[in-house]
Amino acid sequence: MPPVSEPYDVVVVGLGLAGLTAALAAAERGARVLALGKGYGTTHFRSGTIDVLGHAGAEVVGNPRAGLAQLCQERPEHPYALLREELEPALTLVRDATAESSLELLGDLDANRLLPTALGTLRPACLHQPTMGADLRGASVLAAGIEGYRDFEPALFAANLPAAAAAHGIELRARAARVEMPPLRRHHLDGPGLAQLFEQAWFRDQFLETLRPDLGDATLVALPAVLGLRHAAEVHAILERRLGVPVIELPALPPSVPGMRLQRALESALRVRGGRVQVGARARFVREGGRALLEIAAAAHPFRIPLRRLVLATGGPVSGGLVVERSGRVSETVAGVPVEQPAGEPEHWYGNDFLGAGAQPVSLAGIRVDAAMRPLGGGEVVDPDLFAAGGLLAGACRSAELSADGIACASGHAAGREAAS
Amino acid sequence: MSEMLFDEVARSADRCIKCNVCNTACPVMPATDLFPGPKYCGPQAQRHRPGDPIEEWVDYCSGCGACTRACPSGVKVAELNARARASVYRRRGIPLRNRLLGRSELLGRLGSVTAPVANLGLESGLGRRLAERLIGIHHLAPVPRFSQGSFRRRFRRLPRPARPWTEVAYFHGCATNYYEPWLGEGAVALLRRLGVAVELPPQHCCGLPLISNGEFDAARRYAQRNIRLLLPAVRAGRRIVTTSTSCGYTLKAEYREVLGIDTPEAREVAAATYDIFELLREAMWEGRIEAPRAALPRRVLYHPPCQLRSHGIGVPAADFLGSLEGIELEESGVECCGIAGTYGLKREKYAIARRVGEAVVDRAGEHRADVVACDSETCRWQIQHLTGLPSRHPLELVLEAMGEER
Repeated sequence: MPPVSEPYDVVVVGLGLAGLTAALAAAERGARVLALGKGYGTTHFRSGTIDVLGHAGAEVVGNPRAGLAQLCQERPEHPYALLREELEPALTLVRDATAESSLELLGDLDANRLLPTALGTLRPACLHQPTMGADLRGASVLAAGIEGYRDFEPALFAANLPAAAAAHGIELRARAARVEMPPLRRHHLDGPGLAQLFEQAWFRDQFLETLRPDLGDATLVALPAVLGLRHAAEVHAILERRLGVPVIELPALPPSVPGMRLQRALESALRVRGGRVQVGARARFVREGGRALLEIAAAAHPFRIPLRRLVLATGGPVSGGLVVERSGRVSETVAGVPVEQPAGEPEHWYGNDFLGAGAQPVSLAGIRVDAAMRPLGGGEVVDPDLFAAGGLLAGACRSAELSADGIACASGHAAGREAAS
Repeated sequence: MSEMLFDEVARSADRCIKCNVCNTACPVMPATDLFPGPKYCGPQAQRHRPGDPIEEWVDYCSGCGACTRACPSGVKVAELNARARASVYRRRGIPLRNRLLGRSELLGRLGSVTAPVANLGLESGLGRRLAERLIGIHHLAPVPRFSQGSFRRRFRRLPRPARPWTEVAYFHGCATNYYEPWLGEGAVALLRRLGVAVELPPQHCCGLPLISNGEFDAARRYAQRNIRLLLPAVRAGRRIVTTSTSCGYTLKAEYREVLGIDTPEAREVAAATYDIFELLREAMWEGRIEAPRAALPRRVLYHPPCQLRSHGIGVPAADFLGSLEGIELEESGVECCGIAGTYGLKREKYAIARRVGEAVVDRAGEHRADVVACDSETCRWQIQHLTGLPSRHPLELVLEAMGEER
């Protein structure tokens, strides 16, 4: 065999939070990194917060650190059981990386913050963007929607919020307004499009002018999370100054503007550290005569990348990292590593309570890993050069626990570090 | 033409979950109100296209393909749009301007025999104003100068390597043949230095300008001729090497996915087609050649053309450039420079293309680049036009580092 050079030390498949964190952690250690994905990752579908642990059963978790200790004790098979020491450095890495793009992430492991949602409910988050949180106690909230932007309904928000807040012992009032922006008639408005408009002074001026008569006694203005992409902090500060009251953003339907901010900031930090990113690449891991290769379904003929270490961060069934086959088997799509199957027969894998705790046994399926995030099959390491992180990992009920981002960051951090070592 | 393949692309629309991620990647949508975005033109409108589509706005899609790459569900958004555009033109007729821009080979032939006169016309303000009035090519848009004497003519004088490890067939494309023959000479020189012999098969325009301008029937004729002309080299075991990432992508994918030519011969040609740096990088990774030990003490911004991104092969030129000593290399991270072939030349689209390309200008400034490297000719002309910086094919920079006299 001719001498072979591997152009990358670590290749990461998956461009969501787990993949980007893994790539960053590896690049931080001087590894030559390529991160690729079949498209953009789940950052575009999520709220742009870092949820570590929000619910324990029916209870809201106030202190994620304490909640984690309890969770790990009760469920030693949960991915967090391997990752408790990993969370703090992982969140620091992510926070520092996004700060380079002027995207601050506020909060820490000792307290969740209750953030209003677009539906007027409150949900706990560990880290959040500075545009999202405010003191709600005693507030008179004005929720403003933008005519033509159908992904946020201010009346629905205002109708739900007081009762939802009262359930957490918070008293407040809320009302709705709609801002009509005449020049937008020809647009079909979506979040990223509005975010781009909010970065332009003429648009902000007109928006503020139209909103001001509705302000009344409002002590807090709630807007859909569309206040800019690259310059969100600046836009937010301008709006607060001009309105004279705090302004919060409510993450609305995908594509998520706060999620895009997070993805862009992390991607940019990765590039600064010499990492490469390739979007639109479907990959398959192969071993050929001992050589580890990633085969990309490129145009006309496959593109094969020799590599040393591979991190799988392709997500669960929704993201396509795992696929539930018709035969009733869950399998992994890039390297074919063994998957811990859901308990029971396939007809019991799904429940009626969509997001309820433990209601979807299928979501517990996934890959078992050792402490170095290497996939296991029958208790043995499957391939010493393979690592896994994020939504692929078995044992968590992420949507019920509100734990997806914390697992992604912590396992991504561990997998990236181990792969680069 | 294969109906089955048409299905493969058309049916990909069924995988759309309406998540709008494609819209977040589209560089045109933020630059104009006239384009409602890839999702609406593509998978959304596809459901209402039992016959010919009626929408005109699909013409504002530049065809850069960012949407297809961004889609996590595997929808061929850009390909759906390209087909919809062609059927819009089929119905309302193709304007003279598009017919002209689509025929880069014919223009090149005419222009290079009349180069001094043709160039005068291109350089005169009056000529350009007239061209804008009469045929709708924006008077400021970046157009190249014709070269006197084609690349094919010059090729005969070029030396071959002493002991080649492989021989390839070079698909030079129209721009190299008629506007930038030095680029073809450079390609042959670089390949020679790295032990690759080059033959020049007969060939025609790849047909991409016709595809972009909505003339699928004429494009299919070019495609069929190219497949026939390139097949002997492929069957003799040679790979087809391209230096224009847009011609390369047309041979690799668009004949099949957009024009619907799904014959075994088309697949054979596609499977043998390699970008020049894709070939060299593979050889470097397999240990057949060594990366040139040369220095290039320059600040280079590398902009991967949108068409290269669609190849799905990463950034082979940057992998190669990165091995030069002293180079300060950064990738643009920008989806598209705006020109998208002939899009930004058009009167009604010039300003849009300019706005799209501003991101590259910003990146060049941030990096304090003294040159912008880019593998596609129309992108280089656009980047040069927008940044005022020289824009070079990466192979020109590698040759400069190797001290090749040209």
